[in-house]
Amino acid sequence: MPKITYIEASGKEHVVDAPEGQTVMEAAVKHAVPGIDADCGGACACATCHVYVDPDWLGKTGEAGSMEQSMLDFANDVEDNSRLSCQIKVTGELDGLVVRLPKSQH
Amino acid sequence: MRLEGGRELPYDALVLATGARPRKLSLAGADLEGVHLFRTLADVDAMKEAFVAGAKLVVIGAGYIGLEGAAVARQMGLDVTVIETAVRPLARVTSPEVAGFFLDEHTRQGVRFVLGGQPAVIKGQDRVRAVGLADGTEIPADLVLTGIGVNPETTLAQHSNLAVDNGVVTDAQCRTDDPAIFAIGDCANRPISHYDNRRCRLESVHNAIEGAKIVAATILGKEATLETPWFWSDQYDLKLQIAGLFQGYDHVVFRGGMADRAFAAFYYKGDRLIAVDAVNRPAEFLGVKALLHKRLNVAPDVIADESRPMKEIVAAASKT
Repeated sequence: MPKITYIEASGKEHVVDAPEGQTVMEAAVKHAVPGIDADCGGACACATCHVYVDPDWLGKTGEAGSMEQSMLDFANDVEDNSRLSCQIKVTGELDGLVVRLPKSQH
Repeated sequence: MRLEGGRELPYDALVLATGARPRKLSLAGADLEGVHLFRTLADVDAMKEAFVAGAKLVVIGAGYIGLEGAAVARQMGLDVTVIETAVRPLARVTSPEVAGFFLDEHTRQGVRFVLGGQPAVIKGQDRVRAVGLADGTEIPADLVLTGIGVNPETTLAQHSNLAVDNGVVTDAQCRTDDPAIFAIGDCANRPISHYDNRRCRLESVHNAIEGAKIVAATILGKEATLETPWFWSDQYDLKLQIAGLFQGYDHVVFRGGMADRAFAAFYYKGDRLIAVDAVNRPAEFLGVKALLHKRLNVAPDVIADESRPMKEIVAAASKT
């Protein structure tokens, strides 16, 4: 099963087994990784599952769609590698993915 | 608290999060096979087998649940008729303008509407065959989906002699009239601080989450951040995102056009922005959500000016 590493703003790491087909947000929430609120549960409606994709992985996660990009515009501390983790589906290709979490989702 | 069977659980703080029950049709035939409520995964599983292309679905109630059900059904190729007792869909939750847009969209997608229709009887032997209206019209149905609202589950609160009035009555900290008992989510009725402490029993994901945060903070002796309510509804490729409570508005201004299927309706009460319905316009939704949360205002002519990006409008309002 693909492994995903979530790194909190404090530097604390969480390595999670993420089943293919789940989203990067769902895998975090199911393992109680702090710092991903995901208030809307994955409907791309709230922008509270913001993560920074490790630059090495950007090619594999793909880019934000237009709806997601508009939502990200209003998130805090957005960078070029910002994504909403509910919009990244876990695939075998993402085994080893590293994402960093922002200081706050609100 | 005493459980059935007599076991007692002592508590320092008790949280009632009992939710709501979908209203059942009080019509002859409402218990026939093929008549479904929509609340849980089990409800979906129960209708799955008959929910197939070509099947005739009658949806009773044109609120969010009914219209979301109709959208999914059309996308799966079912033949869909929506019956609504009011003269327009979404009457409780949005303006005539935005309701008209959704009515047109669903009609274009092939949904038939019976507005101002009064279901009188569900007909069939063992299984539903048709829905009969008060005027004698009969609408053939293989499947009936009802979305006619919910009733708060307040039985336990009533047995405990807590105040109940359209939900368990609480203060802004979700505390009932017993200081050790809290109530949150669909079952609770609390004053909303961003709306002059108007009492609301909100049925939404955000309200459930916010209630949990408020109670957790209160139990720990901390102060919770009170937020402005927000909601969403996905129908076809339309994402409706709502911030604030539109009730009591006296005029509405728009950004974008309905013809583009991407627009936002901003609701004003006097000079005060109180809510937005944003369709495929996430920036307008998030912008207004931020404004309302910080209790900031933007004049109607400013917000309607499409030459200014929403983010810039919000930033300018935050500085003043």
